[in-house]
Amino acid sequence: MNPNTESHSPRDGIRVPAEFAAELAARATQRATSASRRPFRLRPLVWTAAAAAAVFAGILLTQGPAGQPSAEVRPGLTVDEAWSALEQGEVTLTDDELIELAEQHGITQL
Amino acid sequence: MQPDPLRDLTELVQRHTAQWYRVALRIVLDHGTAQDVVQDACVKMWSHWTSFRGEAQRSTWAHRIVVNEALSARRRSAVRSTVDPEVLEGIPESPYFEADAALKALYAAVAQLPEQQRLVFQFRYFDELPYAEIAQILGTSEGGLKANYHHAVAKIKKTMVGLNFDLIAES
Repeated sequence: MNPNTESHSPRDGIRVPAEFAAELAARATQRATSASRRPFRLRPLVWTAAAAAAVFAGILLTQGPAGQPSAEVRPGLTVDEAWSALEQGEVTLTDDELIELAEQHGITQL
Repeated sequence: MQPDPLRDLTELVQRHTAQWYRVALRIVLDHGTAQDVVQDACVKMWSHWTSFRGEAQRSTWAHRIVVNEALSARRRSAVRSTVDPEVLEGIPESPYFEADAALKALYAAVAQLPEQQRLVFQFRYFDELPYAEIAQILGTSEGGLKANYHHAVAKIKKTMVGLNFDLIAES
C-alpha cells in the first residue's frame, strides 16, 4: 500500500490534499480515542435481555395449568425467540444493529 | 521503548488516512460518507487495538477494517434507498476526484462487476497491491483473487472496447 499524505498521480483519479488528510486524521483519532465503546457493550446487553425474555417465556410455559404436561425447557436462545423478543419490544436495537440483522437475514427493506 | 497504543494509533492514522479515504470513496462513492467511514473505522481500530494478534501487518489489519466499514456503509445506503443516481453509475462524488471520460467509463464498468471482483480490481489496478496483501485485506485466498481479477479484466475489456486501457498483468 502506498503510504500517503498526498496521493501522487493515482490511477483512480482521487487526489487527496495533504491538509485534508491531516485534518481528517486528526478528527478520526480524536473521535476514536474519545468515543465510548457503546456498540461493543450494548450488543451483549441486548442479547442478554433477549435471552432473559426467552428464559422468562420458557418458565411460563413450564408452569402451565396443573395436570397438564409441562413444556420442555429449551436451553439457549433460538433465532426465532430472539426475533420474537425484538418484535414484542422486549429489546431495542441501534440502527446499525438493526441493519446488521437485516443484512444477515436478507431483508432489503426496513 | 514502552508500547504506547495512542501514539501508535496516531501514527498509523496520520500515515494512512489519505489512502483509507481513497479506498472508502471508491466503495461508497460519496465524499461525506467516505469521511464517516474513515472515522468509524478508526473507532473500531481503537476499540480492538489490544486484540490485534499480529497475523498481518497492523496497516493491513487497519485496511481491512476500513474496507469492511465501507462495505457496510454502502449496504446501509442501499437498504435505505438513499443512493444518489450518480452513485449508481459508479462515479465518486468528491471534490478530490478528477477524471476524464475514459476513467469515468472505467469506473462505470467497474461498477457493473460483482463486489469481490470490483474490490480485487480496484486494489490491483488502482493501488497496485500484491495479491498476498489483498488476500489478507479481504480474508480470502490468492488463487480465488487471481481468478476474480482475471474475470474482472475480461469483463471490463469487453465493456470498454475501443478504449486503450493499460490493464496491468494478471499475475
